Amino acid sequence: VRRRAAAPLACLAALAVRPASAHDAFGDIGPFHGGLAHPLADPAQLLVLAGCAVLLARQPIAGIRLGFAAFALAVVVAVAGRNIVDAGAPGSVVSGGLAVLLGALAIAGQPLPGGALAGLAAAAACVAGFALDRPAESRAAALAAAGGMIGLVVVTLLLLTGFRLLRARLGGIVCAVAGAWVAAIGIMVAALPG
Amino acid sequence: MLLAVMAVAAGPAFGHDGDAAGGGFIAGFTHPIFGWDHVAAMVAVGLWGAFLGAPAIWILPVAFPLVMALGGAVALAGLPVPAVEIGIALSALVIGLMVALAQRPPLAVAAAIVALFAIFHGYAHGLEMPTAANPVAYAVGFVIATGLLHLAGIAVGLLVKVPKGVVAVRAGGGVIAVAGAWFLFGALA
Repeated sequence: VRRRAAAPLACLAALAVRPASAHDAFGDIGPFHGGLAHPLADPAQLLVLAGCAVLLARQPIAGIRLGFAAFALAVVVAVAGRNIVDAGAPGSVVSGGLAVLLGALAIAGQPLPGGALAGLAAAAACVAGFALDRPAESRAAALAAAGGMIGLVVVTLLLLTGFRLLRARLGGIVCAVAGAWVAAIGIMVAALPG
Repeated sequence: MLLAVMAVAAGPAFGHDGDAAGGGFIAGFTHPIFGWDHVAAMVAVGLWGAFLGAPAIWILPVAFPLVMALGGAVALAGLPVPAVEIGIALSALVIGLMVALAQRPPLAVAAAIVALFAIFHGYAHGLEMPTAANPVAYAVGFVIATGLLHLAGIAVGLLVKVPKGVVAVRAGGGVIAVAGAWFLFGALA
């Protein structure tokens, strides 16, 4: 009887198996989608992207165009470079410190020179790009890089669009408050041990 | 059969799964919201900002999270801040009284009062951070929750623009001040 019961039990157990996701917010969704969704699973990375978006949203339209173009270009360079250079993810001091700077500039709300804006956007892209996971296997690494590039650009674009819409409806105060939130979280992140 | 049921019902191991969206963020988000002393003080900040009008209506909610984060950083650094609970209770009492008594100090003074109390709130939140599943998500959660409570206070405070709204807002400040006195009594007991 026990042997007869073992087969259906084994079938049920096999059907019920799902991927272990003890340390992965989305489970095993593959390297491309993992890279794509990485900003949603890494709050420090999302914080930097939000800081970049809110800073750009405070700028005149010409500054937004330049800043976002610099961001997108730097994402490609950083993610590609990350697969070549053996550098680890940026520490909490770097991510937090950059978020504080971006948030503070968003609070100030002053139009920035094009070079400074492009430099800040590129810095945000580099910090976010180097925070992506890097699988060991080359095909998986390429897929993760492609997904990561798209994810970083799309998430930042969505945030930027959201802040711009809110600014158009409610005024620059929205970006100032959001900048304060980004800077406040950045202070906490920078103060984290390690 | 029991084994079969258990096999079907078994889900993935969730030890730290989704901690960015769950254990860290939710814990941080609910920390200010489930603490009535925090809620009272945050709403009072928004009320006072709206009562004072521009530019205080946005300077106070901008200044508060920044200084609060400094308080959190102090906690993370392990530096002691005395009488945290008393400070939090006093924040609700003092800011509530400011609204109830329709006090309009200079902007710098109002910002300084709010900033002083923000340190105590940030310190209390920061003490919880090292034990959070995801401390960054925790920080995101409590800053957003704090900001939303400010916005709730501002939304109510905008009643000052309608007839008799000032009375309602001042009454709200009075209720918060009474609650602050109750919190203070509890902290001192």
